[in-house]
Amino acid sequence: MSDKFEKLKNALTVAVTQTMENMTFEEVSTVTNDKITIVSSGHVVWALLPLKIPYDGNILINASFEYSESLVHDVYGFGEDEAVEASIKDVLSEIANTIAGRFLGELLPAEEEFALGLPDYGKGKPLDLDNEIITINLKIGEHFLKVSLYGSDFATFLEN
Amino acid sequence: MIENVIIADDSATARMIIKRCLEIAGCTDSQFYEAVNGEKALEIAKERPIDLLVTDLNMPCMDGKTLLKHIKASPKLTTLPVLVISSASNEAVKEELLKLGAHAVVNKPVSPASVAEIIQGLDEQNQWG
Repeated sequence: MSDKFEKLKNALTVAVTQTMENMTFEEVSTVTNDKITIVSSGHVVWALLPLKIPYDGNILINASFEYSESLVHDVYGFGEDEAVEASIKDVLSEIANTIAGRFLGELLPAEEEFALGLPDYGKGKPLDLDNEIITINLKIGEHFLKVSLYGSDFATFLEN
Repeated sequence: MIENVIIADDSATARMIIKRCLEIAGCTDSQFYEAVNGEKALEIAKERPIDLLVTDLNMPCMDGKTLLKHIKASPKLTTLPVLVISSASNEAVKEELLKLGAHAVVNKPVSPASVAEIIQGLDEQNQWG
């Protein structure tokens, strides 16, 4: 693997682990690049955060419905039966937003400006996009969280 | 002691996490006022005595930087300590916000330890009299 790929992977890994540990107060036990399938008795939920400046791309997180309910419980202290759709959307969107900012902060020189777009959220099948650069999977408690970086600008970054 | 705190962030999740961090940092008896944008935060700050304003940068209607400028331009509010917590700040942005009068700028994800350090610093300076 190239040094640039390692740099992207390390920046994303730091961003994801710090975000999850600080936001949910849960330890990330395993981080892998292995392909995994998100298993959910309900639907899969996802949040997408566009990266605007200096690289055009996206951070995408996919999680099981059960895990997203558990995240709402961690943040708000609701019982899982009370985890409402709006709370799930807000929690996942804020996680995606925080990962994206932390990722660019880790990747770029301290003085370089960056800008993020607004989050999008959906449920049903896992979302998949073109130009996948890296996917990392985290095991947090009994759950998996899949975090992916997409974007042709990052493909160019790796080539140059 | 910090009695009244405004938390301005368009994300309810971010507001909840910041509130929890402040409570862990010692603000257990504080009254928290939540605002979904800078405009609402400014309204609250004008209505009642506030000891600390915690704000995000990227918010609809009025962003955190504009809110900070309004606070520092107001003779009544200029001494109010403003803590900026954002996912979209780097060293250059931090420097600009500090020049505009922010007390501190912290990157998300915020931790109770980083908030506690700032609260302790404020306590030592006794900024709220």
